[in-house]
Amino acid sequence: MYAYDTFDQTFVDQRAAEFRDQINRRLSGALSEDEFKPLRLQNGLYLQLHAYMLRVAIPYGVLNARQLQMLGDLADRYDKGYGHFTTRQNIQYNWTKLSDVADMIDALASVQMHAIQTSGNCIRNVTTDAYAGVAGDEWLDPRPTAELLRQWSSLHPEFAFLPRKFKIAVLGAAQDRAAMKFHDIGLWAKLDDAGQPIYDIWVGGGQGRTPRVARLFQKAVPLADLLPTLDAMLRVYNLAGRRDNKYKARIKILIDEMGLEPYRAAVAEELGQIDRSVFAPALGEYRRIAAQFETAQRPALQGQKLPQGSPAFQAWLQQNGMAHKVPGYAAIAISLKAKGAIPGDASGAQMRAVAALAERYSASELRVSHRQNLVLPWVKLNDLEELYHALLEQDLAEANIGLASDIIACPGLDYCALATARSIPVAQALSHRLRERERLQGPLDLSLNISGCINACGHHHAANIGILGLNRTETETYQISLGGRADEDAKVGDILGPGFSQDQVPEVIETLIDTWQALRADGEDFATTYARVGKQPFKEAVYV
Amino acid sequence: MARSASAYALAANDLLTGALVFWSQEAGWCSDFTAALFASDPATLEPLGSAEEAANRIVGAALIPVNAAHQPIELRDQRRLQGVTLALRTTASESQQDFAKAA
Repeated sequence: MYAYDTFDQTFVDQRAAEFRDQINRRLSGALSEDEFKPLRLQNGLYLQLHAYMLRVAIPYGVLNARQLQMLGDLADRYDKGYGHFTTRQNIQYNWTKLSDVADMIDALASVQMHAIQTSGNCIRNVTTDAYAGVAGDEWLDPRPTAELLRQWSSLHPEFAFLPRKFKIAVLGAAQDRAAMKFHDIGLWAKLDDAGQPIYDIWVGGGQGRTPRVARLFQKAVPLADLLPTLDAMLRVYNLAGRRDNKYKARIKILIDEMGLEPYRAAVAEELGQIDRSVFAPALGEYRRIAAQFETAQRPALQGQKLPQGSPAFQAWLQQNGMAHKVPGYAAIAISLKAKGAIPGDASGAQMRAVAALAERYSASELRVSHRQNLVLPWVKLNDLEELYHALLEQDLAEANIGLASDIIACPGLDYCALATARSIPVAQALSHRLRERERLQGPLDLSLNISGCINACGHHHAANIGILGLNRTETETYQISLGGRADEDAKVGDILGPGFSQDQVPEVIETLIDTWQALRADGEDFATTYARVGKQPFKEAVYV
Repeated sequence: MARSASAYALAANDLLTGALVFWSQEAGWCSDFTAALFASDPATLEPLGSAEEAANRIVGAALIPVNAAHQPIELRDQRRLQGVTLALRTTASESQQDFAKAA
């Protein structure tokens, strides 16, 4: 893992002290809310329906045991005993008091964490594959690139006030487990013939009210050209992106309106004016960062073998385990989607328990996935059964990773000031139904995501079955979309038709699943069946 | 303003805690909506909200339109007053027991 050096720690400590002073001035009345708002947003502090919400950055979803323990402690000490892991690999505390925030930020800084740039029109937390560094299909560990981007983008003087927020994802494997093509910029890292990193750059992806799958901007960009190219791409966006209408301010709209070729030409012209010498230290920094991650990699183990265990253990391992690139290990996902649970929520006690398990079984390392689950990336095969029983004791052994009941949901109108409908009760009702169905019928191989408004934090556009909560004449109405996917064949889902009431949603979803099961060929997942048969049979089944 | 509103209440977040509060009949902030002051003319409450924001006691002052029974008309206010959803929660162990029974 990457560890802060003196520069990083000083930077975060100074920022914590600066924000403490800003909060004190707000509390004393020296700063008005209008003056304070942009300052608090730059430090991840929102005002929601019931309280302040602090969004803490988990850079590229990587945590160590000590950090997760601290996150659990913060949940108990300053929140109502839980936190919410988000689709951007962050964690949110929903019940924060303004007077506590400075102490929370100090506590975070003590374990090399912060909340900088988790809000505002800047480059947000860089995300990646939750299995980075351990996935069997990986060409290049994306974490050193993500860390390089974190350093490049943190308080970047040109990009602190972009037309709108900006999200970057980095991927280094054959399979996209980071929804890379739904980001403003997606980097698909590979290796060239000489074994050096190169990047396919994708641009203009995103969800929200105008969902777009990213388009290929440039193939095989060498590491030496990466930061100058990104700088040029952001400069053109910063200058040409619309600031007159926040709904048209994302780079995807600029690409739509300008066209990809003219955008490429503008970036090339900008790149020609950039002094590349200022980026020269980045190569050395990449090597320094990469060396830290390489040192943390574990050697192959002899004498490890998959345990037999009970049928329940085998089912858990098959569903939540992932083949590892290093012989002798498995990566294990911990579902935060128990039957009826709130997706992504974990109690302080659960966080501390998982931290202890990471310390004991996973080289003190953890990951947060964009599907709102946790991952133990370094579990020895011989330890798997013991880990399973330890997770059972903590109510954390739900075997449903990647299934229908592994629902993504945003906080919705329960918490969020922007939401138009609730997500959580819909997710809970569906979780009960779908988990029961999985118990009776076996795994349901489809993704189901719920957003409480058109901003799409719950990634409904990118789900096989997406649910969007809307306010129609002061009534919660849920619009269904089908056929979306967030993998390397990313696609925006098709809207099925008129929306449904909250009470109707579970029945409608079950009808859609019935229809899929009746139409699917042997072993076909939902996305494949949908791609083959289209929307019509599903529509006919639901709107009778 | 909601066209069918019979009256309005004034809501805000407390500056220090962020908690949802209402301007009360006692001319202060309270957390109990039934104790809120309901005014038929929004112009009665709007200056109060601005003044209280300026006095750094609250943030995000906003009117809540209500019907004759003093129930919020707008969905957002209804859900905000209802509070967060925590019901229906079960645990993984209960779920595991279900699966064990099926096995």
